Amino acid sequence: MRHSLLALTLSLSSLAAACGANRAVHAAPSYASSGRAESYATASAPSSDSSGGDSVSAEVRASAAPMAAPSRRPLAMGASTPAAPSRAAHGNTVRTTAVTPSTTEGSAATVSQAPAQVLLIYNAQIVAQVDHVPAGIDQIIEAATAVGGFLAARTDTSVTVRVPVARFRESLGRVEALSTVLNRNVQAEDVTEQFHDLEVRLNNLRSVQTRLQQFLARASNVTEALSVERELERVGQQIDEIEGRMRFLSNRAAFSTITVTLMARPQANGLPARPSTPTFDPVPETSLPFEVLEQLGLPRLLLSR
Amino acid sequence: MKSIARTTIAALALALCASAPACTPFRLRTPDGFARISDPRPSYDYRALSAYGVAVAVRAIPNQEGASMAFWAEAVDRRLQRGGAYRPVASMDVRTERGQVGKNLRYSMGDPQNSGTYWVTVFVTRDWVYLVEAGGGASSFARAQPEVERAIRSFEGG
Repeated sequence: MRHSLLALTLSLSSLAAACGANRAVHAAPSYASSGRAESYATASAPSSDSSGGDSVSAEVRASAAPMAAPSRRPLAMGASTPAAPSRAAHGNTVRTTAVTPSTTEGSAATVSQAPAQVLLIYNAQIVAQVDHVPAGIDQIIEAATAVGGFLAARTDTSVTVRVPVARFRESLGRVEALSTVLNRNVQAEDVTEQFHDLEVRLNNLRSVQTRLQQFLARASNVTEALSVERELERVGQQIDEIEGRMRFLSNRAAFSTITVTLMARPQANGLPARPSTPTFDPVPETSLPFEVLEQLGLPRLLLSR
Repeated sequence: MKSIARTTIAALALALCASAPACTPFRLRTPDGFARISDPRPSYDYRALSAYGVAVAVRAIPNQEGASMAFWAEAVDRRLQRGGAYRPVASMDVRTERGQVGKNLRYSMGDPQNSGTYWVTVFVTRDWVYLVEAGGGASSFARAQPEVERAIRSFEGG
């Protein structure tokens, strides 16, 4: 009995050590751009005209150019990632690219010898002026919907939309066309290494899980079986956590986030501009005096308490 | 003597039932694969959950204003679409096994990779408004949908 437990403990320790060793090997920095966060922020004076806006656009386009560089090609993520089947089912693609150290150093020799999958999470924050803020927000939502995106959040003066990563640049262009951009901040966060590391850990944990299941099948008494089951449960929880994190990252990479804060365009006299087309003051919205209506919604329905 | 006592107890029980808000006159067959939650949240008069996280619930509101089903269906629809989080999918009339007519409003929410389904079915009688809510993750709900539809058809509101 004691011998069996000792042998089991030794086996578990060796499995854990193997897991750590594998991770150390696989986590070697094979991605030159790993962990990089690119930030492109520009600002212009509120009184800047459309030409000022164009120069800002040019800068951002230039900075965003790697997204469309020939060496970068959007591919469906490989089947090695757990979330891949669902993405394939939805027809989404995750931007992948071959990045070599020379690319990050700015050299012209961007050779994609061994294409690696790169997961980039794009976030854009835009501050812009429009004639009429509510109408501007509606137009931005429509523009996002038109490219397969959706509304993520909305306030009286700002809107956050999420758009398919392949249509990110196009969506930015659409937003810019609808407004006068005062400030623009585009960030691309590279989570490739993070994702790869998770993938390696997942594979290792699955190996451990398989070995533990074999141990469990061979367990000669209840104490041994319980001990292995406890380990299996712990490993199972870790697998669930990692899979959840990978799904989250894939989702964040598949849909880019654009947050636009709008303000009314001022006139020469400093007052907010009237809309170019005559409109009426908005009719105040009536809220119906039924509390039950405010209690509707899926989250409340699903909450257990 | 015994029969007088029995009658008095029955009368008292009826009076209590009529005055208690939880004792609203409706019936809904709990869908197969769902468990009725015995202590529902105060805002629900009935609530059942499936193991896959799909919920069906009923709220009964006194129809003091005597508003019609069209009014309530539009009020619910407007409320849900106001924030932009709920995308309308369908709106259809439903008829229960007892012939009661209601309005079934269907919505989706969330992003394509993590979407949810949410239904509100409105039944209105002279004295009560009933909101039968059903929802859950899109894939779980799709599996439970036939049972949810059957439960809605079993609804009977007084």
